[in-house]
Amino acid sequence: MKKIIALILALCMALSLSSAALAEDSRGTIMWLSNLSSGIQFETTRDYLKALCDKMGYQFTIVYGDGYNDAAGNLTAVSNGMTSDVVGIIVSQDGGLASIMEQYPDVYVAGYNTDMTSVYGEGGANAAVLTKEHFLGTICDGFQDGANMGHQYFNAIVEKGYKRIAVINFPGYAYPNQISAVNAFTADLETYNAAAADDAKITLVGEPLTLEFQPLADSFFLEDGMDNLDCIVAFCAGLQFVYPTMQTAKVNGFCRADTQMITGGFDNNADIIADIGSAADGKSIGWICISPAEDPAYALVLLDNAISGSQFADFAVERVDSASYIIDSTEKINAAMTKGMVGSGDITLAQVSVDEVLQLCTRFNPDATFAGLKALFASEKVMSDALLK
Amino acid sequence: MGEKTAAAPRAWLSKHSAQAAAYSGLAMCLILFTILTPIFGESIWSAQELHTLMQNVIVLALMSVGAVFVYSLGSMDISIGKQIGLYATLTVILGNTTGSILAGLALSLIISVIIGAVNGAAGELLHIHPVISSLVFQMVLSGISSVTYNSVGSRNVALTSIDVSFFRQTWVMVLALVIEVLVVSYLFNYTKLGKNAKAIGANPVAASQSGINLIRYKIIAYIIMGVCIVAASLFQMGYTASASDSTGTGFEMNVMVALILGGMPLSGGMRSRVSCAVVGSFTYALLDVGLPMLGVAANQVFVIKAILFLVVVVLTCRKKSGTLPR
Repeated sequence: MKKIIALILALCMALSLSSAALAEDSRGTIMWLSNLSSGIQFETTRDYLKALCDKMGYQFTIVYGDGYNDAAGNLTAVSNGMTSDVVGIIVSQDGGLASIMEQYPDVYVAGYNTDMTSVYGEGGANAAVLTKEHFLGTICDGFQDGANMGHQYFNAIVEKGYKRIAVINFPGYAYPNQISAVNAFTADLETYNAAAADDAKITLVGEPLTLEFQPLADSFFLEDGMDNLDCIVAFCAGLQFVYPTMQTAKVNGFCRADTQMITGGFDNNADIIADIGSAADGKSIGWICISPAEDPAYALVLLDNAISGSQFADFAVERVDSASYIIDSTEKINAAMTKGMVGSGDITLAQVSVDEVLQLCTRFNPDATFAGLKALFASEKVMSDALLK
Repeated sequence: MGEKTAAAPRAWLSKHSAQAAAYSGLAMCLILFTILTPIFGESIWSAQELHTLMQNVIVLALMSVGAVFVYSLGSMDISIGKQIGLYATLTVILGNTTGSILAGLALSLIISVIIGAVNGAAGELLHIHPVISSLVFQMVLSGISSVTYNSVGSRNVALTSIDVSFFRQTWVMVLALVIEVLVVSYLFNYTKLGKNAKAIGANPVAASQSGINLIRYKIIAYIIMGVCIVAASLFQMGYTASASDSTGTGFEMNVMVALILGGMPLSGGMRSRVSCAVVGSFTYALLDVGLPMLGVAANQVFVIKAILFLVVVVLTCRKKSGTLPR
C-alpha cells in the first residue's frame, strides 16, 4: 500500500513539474472559439493556428462554440475551457461576446471568420464590446456589407452567361447580410435587364426562396420553370443545403442536366471537387467563393501585438472584409487542391507562411504596420489566382 | 448469523445500486478533480472555477430538481428546452418594454401553469403517453420562437435597460438551488403530492384504485416542474442578459442525462429521489468544467461523458427488465 501511495505521489510530482515547465516556456494560451468542429476548413485552421502559436511561443486550445451561436452556449464553452494562462481568444462566433469580455476583461479578443453583426449592427446585442480596450476587431467571412456579396454574385452570373436563374438564401433574422445581398442582387438584375438587349436579359425564375436551415426540398424542382434553370444562386451554404437536392433532381430528371450552382463555402469531398468547373464539361458547380484559409493569421497578429504591449502605431479597431478566394474552373480547383492550403490542408502550402506571419507582428518586425497587415490580407497573394502563377 | 451479516450489505447494495453508482460517480469526480486539477494548473475549488461550475450547474439543476416530480410519475417532458427559450425571450422582451423583469416573470408563470395543466391532463384524458403532448408543445413553442425572432429581425435579443448581473453571483445561484431543493424535497418527501406521484409511477392502476386522483396529481407534478423551469429560465437569461431562438435547445436531453446519471429510475416510482437531480447535475457539470482543466480537449469531453453515461446505465439497469435504469 505504501508503495502504491509513493508511486502516486511521484506521478503527481512529475506531472506537476512537467506542467510547471510547460507553463514557464509559454507566453500564455491562445484560445479559438470555433464555429466548426470538423471538415477541411476546421482542420486547416486548427493546424495553421497551432503552427503559428508554436512559433510565437503560445499554447493553443480550441473550444467549440454553440451550434446556433447562442450567447449562453458560447459563454459556457469559453468558461469551461478557460484557464488562468489564456491571454487571447480568436472568436469565430459573436454570440455572447459582451458577456465573455465582461467575464474575462483581461483577455484580448479578435474575430476571424465572423462579421460580428451583433457588435457592429444597429442595436446589436454585443455592441458594448466596442468600448472595451481588449477588443481588437474582426476579419469577416467575406464582405461586412451584404450588398457587396450581392454585387459579386451578380457579376459572376453575368460573367458566366447564365440567363435563367433562381435565388436561395437563409432567413434574415439569422443572416441579415444575405437579405442585403439578395436585395442588391435583384437591384443589379433590374438595372442590367433595363439596358440589355432582349436575348441578353436574365430571368429570375420565381421569387428568392428562404431556407429555414433545412435542405432544399425536392419539390423545388417541380415548381413552374425550376426544371429549366441555367443556375441556382445559393447565398446560403449551397454545397450543404442545395447541391445534394439538385443532384438528386438531375438523376430523377426533374432538373436540367447542365444546371449549375454558384455559392459560398468549401468542401473537399471528392465528388464535389470533381464537380467544379464549366457546364460544358458537365460540372454542376460553376463558381464558389470562400475566404482565404490564411485569414486566422490576421486575428493572431493583432492578438500577439496586444499581448506584447506593442500594438501597431496606426492600429484602429476595425471590421475588415476578407479577400475573395474564387474557384470557378477545373484549373483553379486543381491548383487549390494541390498547391494551396485551402484544399490540401497542408500548412506548408500556406500562401502566407508561418515565417511571413511573424514578420507582420511588431514583436518580430518593429516596422510592421496595420495598413500593411490589411493590405496583405486583401491582396492577390491570398487569392486563388496567386496559385496559377 | 454470519450469513445474515454478510447478506445485509449485499441486499442494501442490490436495492440501492443506482444510488450507490451515482453517488460514487460524483465522489470519484470530486476526488479526481480535487487531486489532479492543481497539478495541471489551478484548483477546481478556486473562486473562478467554482463560479464556472455553478454557472454550468444552476440551470440544469433547477430544471432537473423540478423534473423529479414528472419523472417519478414515469413520464417525461420534452418541451423543457423550448419552455426555457420562451420564458427567457419573454423576460427579455417585456423587460426592455416595461423596465422590469416582473412582467415577463409573471407571464412565464401563467404560461407554465397552462402548459403544465395541459401536459398533466392530456395523458389521462386522451389516453396517450404524456410525452406526446409535450412533443406538441415543443413544436408549438418552436413555431412561436421562430415567428417572434423573425418579427424582431434578429436571432437574439438582449436586455438593454436592466442589470441582471445579480443572477450571475455565485451565492445567488447557490441560494436559489438550496431553496428549490428544500422546497421540492419537502413537497416530494413529506406531503401527499410526492408520495402520490411516486405511487402513480410505481403502479398507476393500484394508485387509482387506492383513491388517488391521477389527473390531479399529474397536473400538479407538471405545474411544479413548470415553475422550476421558469426559475431556471431566469438564470439562463441572466447568464448573458439575453435570449436567442436557440436558447434552451436540447435542455430536455440534458435533464434526462443528469437524472439518469443521478440514479433516477426512468419508470418513476418509489426509488425516485430529489437527490438524483442534484447528484446528476453536479456530476454532469463537474465533468464539463473539470475535464478541460486536466487538458482534455473540448471535443473529447463529449466522448468521455458519453462513456460514463453508458457505464452508469449499464451499472444501474435491472438485468431482468431491460437496458435502461428502472
